[in-house]
Amino acid sequence: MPVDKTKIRNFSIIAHIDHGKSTLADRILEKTSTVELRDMEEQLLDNMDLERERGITIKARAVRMCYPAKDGQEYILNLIDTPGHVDFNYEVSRSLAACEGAVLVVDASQGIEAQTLANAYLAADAGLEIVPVLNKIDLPSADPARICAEIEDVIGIPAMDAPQISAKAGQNIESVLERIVKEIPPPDGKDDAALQALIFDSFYDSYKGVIIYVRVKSGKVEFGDEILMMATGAKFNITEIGYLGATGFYPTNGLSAGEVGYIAASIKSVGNTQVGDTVTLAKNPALEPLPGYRDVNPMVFSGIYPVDGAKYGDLRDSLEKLRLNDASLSYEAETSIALGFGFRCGFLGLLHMEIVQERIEREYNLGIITTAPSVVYKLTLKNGKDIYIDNPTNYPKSDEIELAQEPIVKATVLAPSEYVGNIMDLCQERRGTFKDMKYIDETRAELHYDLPLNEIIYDFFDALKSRTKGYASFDYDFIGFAPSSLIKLDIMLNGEIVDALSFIVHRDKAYTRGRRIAEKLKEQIPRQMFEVPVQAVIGGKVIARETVRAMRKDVLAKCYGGDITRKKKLLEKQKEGKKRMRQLGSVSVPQEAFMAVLKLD
Amino acid sequence: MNKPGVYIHIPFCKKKCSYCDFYSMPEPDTDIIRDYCNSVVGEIDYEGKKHDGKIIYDTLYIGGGDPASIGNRLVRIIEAASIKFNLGKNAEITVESNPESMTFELSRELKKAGVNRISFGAQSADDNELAALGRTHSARDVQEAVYTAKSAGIRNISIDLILGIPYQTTKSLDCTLNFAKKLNIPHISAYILKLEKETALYANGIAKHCPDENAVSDIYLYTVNKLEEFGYAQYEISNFSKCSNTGQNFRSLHNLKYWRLSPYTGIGSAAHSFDGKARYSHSRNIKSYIKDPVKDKKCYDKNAGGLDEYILLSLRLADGLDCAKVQKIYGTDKRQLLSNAEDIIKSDHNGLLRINGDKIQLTPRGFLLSNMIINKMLECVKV
Repeated sequence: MPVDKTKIRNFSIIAHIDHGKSTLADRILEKTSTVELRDMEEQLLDNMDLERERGITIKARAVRMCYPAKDGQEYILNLIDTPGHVDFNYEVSRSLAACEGAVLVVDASQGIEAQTLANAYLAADAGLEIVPVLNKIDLPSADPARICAEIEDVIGIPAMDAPQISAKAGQNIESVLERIVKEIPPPDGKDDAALQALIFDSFYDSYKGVIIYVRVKSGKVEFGDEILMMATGAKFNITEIGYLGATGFYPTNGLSAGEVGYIAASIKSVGNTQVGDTVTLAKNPALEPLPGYRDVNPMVFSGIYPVDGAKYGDLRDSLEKLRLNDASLSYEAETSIALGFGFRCGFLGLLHMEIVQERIEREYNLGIITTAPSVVYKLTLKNGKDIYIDNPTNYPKSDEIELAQEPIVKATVLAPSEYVGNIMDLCQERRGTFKDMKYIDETRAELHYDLPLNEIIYDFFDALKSRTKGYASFDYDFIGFAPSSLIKLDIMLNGEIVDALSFIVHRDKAYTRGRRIAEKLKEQIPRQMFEVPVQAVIGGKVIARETVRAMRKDVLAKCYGGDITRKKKLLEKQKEGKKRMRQLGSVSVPQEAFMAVLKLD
Repeated sequence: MNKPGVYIHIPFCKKKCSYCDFYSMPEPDTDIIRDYCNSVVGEIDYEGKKHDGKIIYDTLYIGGGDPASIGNRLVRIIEAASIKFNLGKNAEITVESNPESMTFELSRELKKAGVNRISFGAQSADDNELAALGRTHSARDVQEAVYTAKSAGIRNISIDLILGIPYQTTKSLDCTLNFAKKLNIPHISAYILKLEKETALYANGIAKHCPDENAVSDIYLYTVNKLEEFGYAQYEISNFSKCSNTGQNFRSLHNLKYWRLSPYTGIGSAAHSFDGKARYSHSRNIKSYIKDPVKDKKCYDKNAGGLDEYILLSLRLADGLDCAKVQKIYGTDKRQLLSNAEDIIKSDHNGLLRINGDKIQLTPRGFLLSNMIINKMLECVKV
């Protein structure tokens, strides 16, 4: 029986972090009885441990629900969950492109934040019907009237009759569902046209191969069809097709225009199923792919090395496996004099980097050392060649460089107006260019700055939070390269350059940064048998020096018959401690030192 | 194999010193002392019978506690041990004693029983420092005790000194060292005080007044220098000895056994044993020992005496680690060990160690960092 398209609603929920997106999704699942209460757990759609712990959504998810509305009709609701973070903007935009509408959740006491805006703009760009919802209405500090006005003023959509709910308490959830049915249009698209299905997510399953999540925009696709990925050109035969339940898959014969579901086709790698690509039929392909596909380029790079050099193979395996599920992660082998064999990895942003590091440590139980993150620099050499450098080690000598350029982002900061001064100071310190500022209301301001990406990858967000008591929210978007005065700063321990600690820095920042890093390393490096000079060096010239004083006494004075166990225990303890150390020439450096030098504020 | 030694632990003393975390029992009642000594004699008998008197032991060391505090019972124990362990005429028989416990009568008895070495817990010649340590004796008591032992005919006398005592300075140390010199004895041990959390010194807050790491290091180096000047050669991290005119070296033969991986049998509560392959220990529970001294002893390391122990013990000795010997005994390439030592020498400006032929020898500065150096050397050993 063909599905009645007028009864389908495809929608996303978008929100700033902690405004209650996942909690609302949980309540909707309960309300539509998609999940039995006994199977219910919090943040059901976020099934990675990491997602639950951090309260964020990393991967997109989708679920199909049935809802008997007050008009007596039964509707099929497809909820497509989106990652909330700026690093995953492209994924968010593809998830939104799979919908006709979006529920915009806004915290009724905090109001609009940077990601609220970013997501709302993305949804508007995608031509979605936006349904505003005020959440956390049960909090004493909730001020629905003010927040409604804010939504109307800033985003420019009517919000006066927005449902006022408490997702946590399960209050007023039905009004959200009714609003979805009434305001979000049903999908259009013809079943008899050529197949165009948008991939909005994919993941690797060890039994079925890659499973892709699709929204069929036009045409039909059935079990057994040979499909073609229009961007990658890869072809596969469908081995399974169906709908997405909250806790499992429901195979069916096929999917037609307007529907959301999954396809499995014994696909070996997510590299063949890029998010944003269009699936069509090999024997009757669509003339054009759906608009909006692009390659996702990593923005931030860092070296990842096993703590135990012998685990290099394990690290490679874990990166391979992570990439099966995460096409935006890139890596290639690299060698560091200090750290041995490892990988240069590319990430969408800082959060993406942290997540990958954490998953390697947790899911693959590997100790890793990460080097300071770097951005990609565009260099024009004296010989006329253009090169891109993402590893400070490969940075050419200054006399070979004609022009150095660094990536710039457009940053949006929202904060209570009393912090505007602090934010401006911070952005100024980070070499930002002020663009404009407007007041959202009497108490809150929105600032725009152009900032070098290099300045925000270390600790910008931490600094922003501490200078605004946590009230500021922040979002950024890459806009291009701009010429800059860059130099390479090296760190020497005991007279030897540690390549893993080198980085590229703006000339004006080099001295301060070098001195702070030397100080930080002095704190991090334990005393050794001999004195260890820590020096920051530019082109052979020392700009800062600290000294880790030598240890003088580490001895067990009494060692007689009974004491040998004590002695051995002591040595074993020391050895254990050494495992967390990296031997750089003659100096033992703890893993933390490599990361600690990033947090200098 | 080297001849084995016997260690007997007497865990009794009149008063526990504030820095002490050894197994000891202050102010015991006489019943416990009697029962304990009976069990010790029982264990001596049992251990002696194991070898059927065929193995000759050449050292006996009675440690504590304060062994001299149990008087004549100590003499009985030594007599029993001499027979059961086949101690020859030239065996080294040492008794530890607090200065105030050594009476003339007791030293005569001990001499008769074969004791030829006494080690006094002098600790310091500064009465304030002694008080800080919770010691009941004075410097004068030490002088008298040494005189008493000598007049009983025991000439191989050692005293223990402690470095890094609360309130200690190089000046007060100088007095102590000069005092030791005047005693005219052939052996001195000087231990850096190790603060143990479970001790009274730690709990009563006096530990705060200990000299800091730098000061203690200076105190140690000063001591080594001064003792060398007085004719005492350093042969281990904390041990110094003289040579007689006839060439007799007064190093502690018994203690050398520990550092040279020779076998020894430990008798009494908390005593450890090593038979060349395995290590054993008694519990730190006197009642369990009294009840059944044989069952109280348990093996805790079946595979002892390996290269790791050889390295960590040899490097305590001034004579150092003989890499050629290591290669012979354990098959480990000596170049590996020597190159590790060279690595240290390369980045070290303080002279922590030297390579002397095939031997790696720590200097006094190196001894101060011996844990670190030993760890570095142990990197050669696969565990």
